Amino acid sequence: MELPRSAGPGRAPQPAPRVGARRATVRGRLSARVGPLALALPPIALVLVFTGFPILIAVTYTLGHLGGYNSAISAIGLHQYSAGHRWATFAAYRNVLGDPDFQADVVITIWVTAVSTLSVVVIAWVVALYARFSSSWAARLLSSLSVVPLFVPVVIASYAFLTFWGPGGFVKTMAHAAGLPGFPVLSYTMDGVTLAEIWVNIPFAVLMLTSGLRNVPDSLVEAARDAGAGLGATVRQVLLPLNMLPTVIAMTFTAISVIGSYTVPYLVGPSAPNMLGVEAADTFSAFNQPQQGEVMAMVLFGLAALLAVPYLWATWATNKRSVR
Amino acid sequence: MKVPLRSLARRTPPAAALALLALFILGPLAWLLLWAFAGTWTYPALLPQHWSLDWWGEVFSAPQLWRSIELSLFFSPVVTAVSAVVCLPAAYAFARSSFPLRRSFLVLLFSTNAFPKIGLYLAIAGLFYSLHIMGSAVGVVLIQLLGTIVFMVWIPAAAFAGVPPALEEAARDAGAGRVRTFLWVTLPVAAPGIFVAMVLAFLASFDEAQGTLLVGAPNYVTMPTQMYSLVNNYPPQAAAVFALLLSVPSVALMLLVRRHVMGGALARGFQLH
Amino acid sequence: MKAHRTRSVLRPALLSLTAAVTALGSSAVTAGAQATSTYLKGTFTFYSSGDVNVQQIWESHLIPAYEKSHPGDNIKFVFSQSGAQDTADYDQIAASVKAHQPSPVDLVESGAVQQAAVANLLTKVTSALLPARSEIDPALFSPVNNEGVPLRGSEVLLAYDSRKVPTPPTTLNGLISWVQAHPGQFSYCNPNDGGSGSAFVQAVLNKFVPATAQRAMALGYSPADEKKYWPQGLALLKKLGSSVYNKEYPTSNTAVLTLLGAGTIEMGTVWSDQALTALKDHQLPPYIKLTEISPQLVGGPDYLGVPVNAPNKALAFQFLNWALQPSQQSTIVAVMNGTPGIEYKYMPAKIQAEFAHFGSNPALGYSSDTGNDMAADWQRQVAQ
Repeated sequence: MELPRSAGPGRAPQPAPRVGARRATVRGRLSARVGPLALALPPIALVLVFTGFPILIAVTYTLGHLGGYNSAISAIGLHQYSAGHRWATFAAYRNVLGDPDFQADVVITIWVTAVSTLSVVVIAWVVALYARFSSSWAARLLSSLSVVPLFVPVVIASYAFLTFWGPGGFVKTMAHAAGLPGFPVLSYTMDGVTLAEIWVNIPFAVLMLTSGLRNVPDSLVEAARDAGAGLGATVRQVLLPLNMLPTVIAMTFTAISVIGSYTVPYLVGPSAPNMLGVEAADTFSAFNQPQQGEVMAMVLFGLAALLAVPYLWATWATNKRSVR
Repeated sequence: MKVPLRSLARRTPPAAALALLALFILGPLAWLLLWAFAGTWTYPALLPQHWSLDWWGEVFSAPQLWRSIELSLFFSPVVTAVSAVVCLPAAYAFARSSFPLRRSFLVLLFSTNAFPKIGLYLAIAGLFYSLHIMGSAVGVVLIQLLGTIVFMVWIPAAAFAGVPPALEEAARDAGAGRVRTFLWVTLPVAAPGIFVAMVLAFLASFDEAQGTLLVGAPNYVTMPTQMYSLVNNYPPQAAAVFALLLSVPSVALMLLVRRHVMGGALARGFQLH
Repeated sequence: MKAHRTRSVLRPALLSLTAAVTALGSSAVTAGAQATSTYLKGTFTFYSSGDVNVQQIWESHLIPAYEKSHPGDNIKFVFSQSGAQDTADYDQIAASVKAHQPSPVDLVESGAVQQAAVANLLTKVTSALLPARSEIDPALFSPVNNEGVPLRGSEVLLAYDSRKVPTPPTTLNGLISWVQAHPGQFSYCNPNDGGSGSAFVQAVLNKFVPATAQRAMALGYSPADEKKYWPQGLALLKKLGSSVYNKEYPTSNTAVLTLLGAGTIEMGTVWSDQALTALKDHQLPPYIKLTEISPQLVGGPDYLGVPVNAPNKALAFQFLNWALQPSQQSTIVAVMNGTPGIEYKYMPAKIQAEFAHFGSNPALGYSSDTGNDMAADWQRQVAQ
């Protein structure tokens, strides 16, 4: 846990014993556990009360409990399923999951997530490698540039993306000048959404991987070079194994960010099929089927949780190997 | 630390690919910038046929715009500060101690943040009513605060964990108290990470639209709320102008923290667990 | 819980048309006041959402006139340009009613009104509260459970490029054949995102819906009729999908105007006031012309409501009653190029003559529940 940087072997592990722990008396040991818990509690309590509790309410709503806290929403919802006197009904889930259009949305959501995540990680590796092994101004500029989208509000990014790739945008204009009038426009297509997702998510992956690669000692790379390894072999045999954790982190958080995104597919994507975030919001409000909308939110949350498994596993494994 | 390894550098991707990447990233923003100054611009002209500042005047004269900018510039710093007060002690606790459910709490902070929010607002409004903070500035700060907690705990926790305990120990051996040690040794070393977290918190608060509208209306309507309708309902020029205005704080902050973000403060935040 | 109607209200400024307004506006100030009777004095809160023309009719015309003719009365006017406001409005009202606390707002104008009315969160409109109620077509109260007040209506028109289309279609059937004969030249926006698209979809569906069922769907909720009569219309829309521009649907009313202005398409459905403004501001070239088709594309009435727990109900209704007087209604018609909320026979003769060709008040749009289902079915069966 206490190892803050990526666990490259080149970096000396942090000294394990903690000041407080070393001096602890029996009473001190207790307060060393309770005191920090008290410090940690305020943000956790805030989140539990103001997000966790509403999520629980939403869960009961999807399971068919229309009264109590849910009465304000169920008063206007269409096509709702009530659990009646049973503890729960899964009818709303059956209704949503059995809908072929919803299934199409799930497929396209997973597809966009997979393609954009892989692309982001590949691009980030290239940028990070370049930044690691070249000290040219171009390398510095490129790695700085790839962080820019982090600071651009997503609404603006999507809008800029639409005007750039859409009809009358830069890309279409260049294609026209090059004598390609049939060049496709990407506005309102899933290809457009995928590209925009890549744009939005590049910075985080680049930061993870530049930081990871920086922690690989030059000596290791030079040793590989001396042994006659080319760039490809060096990456495969030295850099990749040492940077599995940052890579997994970059992939996980990119994928979670893409799969749950709303603004990008809403502004850039087609009417249908579109990604789950948009479909859930439309179902909730435009179609006035809040129960089905919530079910979709649950599915989305479930998918995100699945994506987080490799991350939790990888960090767990790394932490075990380190200090403790 | 960045020793040029010439043989490898020569094999890095060709200039053309890198130029394309740069175009991919900067192109849309540059194109938007042009739109903000365009009078008429019809396809397939590469540049606007007429340049104009009219839309700047139009946007600036919108009566609610200034008020919303003022509000955004008031709330975001306040939220950032409150978030720091609430979360930094927690981040320190996460970094320096082990207590029951420690890891579960960290994951909880992230997972609730990842839940699609649309269906939660009604229940949240109910809670805010029972606390009598609907429509109040306190309510707005609270709803925006919720979106900043993950950054404000995760990233500073990593930063605190990165402070070598030996350093603190040395200070304490030299007679410094707990508080003095924290203020003069721990905090300065962890500062870049905290700084980055604060900037991200600021941006999260600055970009928050829906929750603020729910809690803040009628008294507090902030800037991003106006952006959505501009994007969908106005000619590209007006949206471009407003987009540029909205990016000013972000760009300023980016220039401020670029070095620390690139230095890995953000990346470390996600490796701690 | 709102969107398709929500954004139907979002239409950019009708910056002027002032010539017509100045005449009417000045009379509004004097004639509008209930000069002789006594009136309540106080301050109430009014949320409005929509686009700049909605904002302008309130901020520049009606509210100043009201405050001038009713000294001692003040309106705390809060305007939001965003459709997101509607969800927030509903959540605020519903949560305050549940919490047994006074509503933060006394008068609401947004897509949330129909939802809140269905959920019984608004005050029933009686003649005692609103004397002018008798001048409104009673049918207009049914879709909102007698809890909303229709203050004005609006119209959706066919816009076309007169350089390329010398004789535009005059009927819906004519339009449909034209679209099929000219693939890629027509566009209507996603009905979830804009009322102008919604009106077109509704018109095509209604081709196959008998008049009685149309009425049932407008006044209330009739899923059986939807199941029975919509499939043909949806199939036709699906078929048209291969002929619309880019085989896609723009995500806002404005986007259709942009395509027209850029010469990308030759025809599209648009809000009358939005198109007129764009023409006036030269956002649209002068050769873009507007025409009505029959049956008419229905924009639908715009409802205002007073929450059951509003602290200043009487003040809100006093204002509404004033806004429904013929002189104020004339201002609305002139400034927004809309239709009045009260029946034509109560309007000044000049306006009656102008709208004579409508015969009666414009047709009703689908109720909010029917509209929600229409949006869902369109999304599933046409857009996919």
